[in-house]
Amino acid sequence: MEKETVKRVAGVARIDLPDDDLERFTDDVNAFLNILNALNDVPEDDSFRFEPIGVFDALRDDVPVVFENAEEMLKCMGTYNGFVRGPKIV
Amino acid sequence: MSSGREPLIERYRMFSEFDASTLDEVLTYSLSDDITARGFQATAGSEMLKGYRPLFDAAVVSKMNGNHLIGKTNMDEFGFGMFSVTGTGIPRNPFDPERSCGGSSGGAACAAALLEGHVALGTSGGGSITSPAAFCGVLGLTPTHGRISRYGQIDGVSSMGPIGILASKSDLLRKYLPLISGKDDRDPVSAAQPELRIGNRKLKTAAVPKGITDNVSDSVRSAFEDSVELLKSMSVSVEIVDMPHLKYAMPAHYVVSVTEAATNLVQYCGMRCGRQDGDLSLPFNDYFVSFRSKYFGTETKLRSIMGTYMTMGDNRRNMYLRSLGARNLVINDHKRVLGEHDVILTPSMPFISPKIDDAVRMRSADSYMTGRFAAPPVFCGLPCLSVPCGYSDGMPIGMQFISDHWDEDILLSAADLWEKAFDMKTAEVRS
Repeated sequence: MEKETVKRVAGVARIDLPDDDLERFTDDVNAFLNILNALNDVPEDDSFRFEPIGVFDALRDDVPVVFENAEEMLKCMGTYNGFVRGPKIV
Repeated sequence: MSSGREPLIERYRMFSEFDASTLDEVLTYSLSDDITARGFQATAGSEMLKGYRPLFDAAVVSKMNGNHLIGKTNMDEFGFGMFSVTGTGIPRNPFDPERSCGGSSGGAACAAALLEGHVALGTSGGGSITSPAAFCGVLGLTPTHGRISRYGQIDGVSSMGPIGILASKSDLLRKYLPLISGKDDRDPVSAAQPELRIGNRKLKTAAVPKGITDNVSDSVRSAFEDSVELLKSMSVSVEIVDMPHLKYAMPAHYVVSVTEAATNLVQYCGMRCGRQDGDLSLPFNDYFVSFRSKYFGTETKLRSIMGTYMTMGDNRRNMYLRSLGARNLVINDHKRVLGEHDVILTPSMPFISPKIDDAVRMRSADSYMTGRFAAPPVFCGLPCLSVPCGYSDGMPIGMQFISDHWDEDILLSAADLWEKAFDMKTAEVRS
C-alpha cells in the first residue's frame, strides 16, 4: 500500500497522520498485509458465522403475574371491557 | 494505613489504580482495566478514557460479592498487544523487573504471581491471558467464549475477548470459575452456554500438532518436550496430529480482530465518556479527528487504520468474510482432534519474556506472530489453560492445554494434575 492510500484510509478512520509518522505506519500496514497472504488459498465458503460458538435467541420465561391492586392501576389508563386500551395505530 | 504490599505494588506497577484500604484483606481480587467497577477508573489502558469512572459494576464484579476488589491492573491499550507496553502503565515481570509481563493482561498476571491467594481477572482478545500467565509463571484459564458474561467489559474485539482467571494455585481456578460463570440476560452470547459441570474427569489423552515446536527457542522446545514426557509418565497418552488449517489461524485472527476493533473504536471521539476537553468551536469531523489523533496510542491507530481498510470495497469479501470462513476451518480442525483426545497441547509462547525495551521496539507485525500458539484457541472460542512447565535463565516457560467448547472441566483436572507433578516456582519477592 502506498503512503497516500494509508493517509486516505487513516482519514476515513478519523485519524490524522502527520508526515513524520506516515512512513512508519505505511511500513507497519504493509508488514501486516504480508502476513495476510497466507489467506489467499482459503477456499471460498459462505457458511461463515460471526461468533465462534453457536449463538441462539434466549427468551425469558413467560411468567404471568397477578396484580393485587389491578383496578387501581387501570384507573390510570384508558380501558375497554377490562383490557388496557393501546394507542391508535391506523 | 500502610500495607507490606504497597512497596511491592509500587515497584512492579501492576495496578493502574488500587484501594490501599483493602490490601491486607484475605480474599482479594483485581480486574484488568477494561472491566468496569463502581468507584474505579476504567480506561482499558487508554489515554482516551482517562477520567472515565463508570457508575455500574460489570457482571463479574457482582458475582465476586464477599471478595475484596483491590484495584485495576495495567494492560495494553484496549488489549492491543502481547507485552503490556502499549497502555498507560507498564507492569514489571515478577521474576525480573526489567522484563515484560506479557500481555495484554500483564498487570493481572503480575498481581497473581506476587500477591498471595490473589485472583486476577483478565481478558483475552487473542492470547492475552495465556501470554502473561506464561511469562509470569502463573496459571491462566481462558474459558469458552460466552462462559462468563462480558457485561461491563469495554469492547476491544467482539467475537473474542472472554474474561478469564489468573492465579498461582489451581484450587483458585476451581473455586472462582463456577462463581463468575453462567448465563446473563445482559450478554446474549452467554445465553448459549450449557451448564458448567465439574466432574474431576481424568486427563487420559492429549494431542500435539505436528511441527508445533518449529521456530521456537531452544529452551521452550526443551521444556515443552520434557513436559510431554512427564505427562506420558502419568499415563496420559500423547499423539502427534495433523491440523492442516492451523496455518490460517493467525492471519484470519488478525483480520477479524482489527476489523472488530476498528468498529468498536468508532465510539471513542471525545464524547460521552473519557476525555472531553476538546475545542467545541471545531466542526464535528475536526473535533473527532483531534481527539482520536491526540489520545489513541500508536498501536490503536494502526489497528483502526487496518480494520477500516478491511471493510472498504472488495476487502470486506476478500479479507473479512474470507477470514470468518477460515475460522470455521480452524475450528473444525480443533473439533476433529478434540473428538478423539481430551486436550491439545502447545507451548504458550515461543520464547521467554523479552526485556521491556526490546518489547517496546518490536514492530507490530513481529509482535502479532508471537501469539501464534496463544491466539488460535481464543479466535476459535475454545477454552485453554496455560501452566508453567519450565524455567530458563530464571524466567518461566508456559505450556498450553486446549479443550473443546464448554469443556473447562478437563482443564481444571489438568491444572490439578500438573500442579502435583511439576515443581512450580514462585517469584522471590512474593507477599
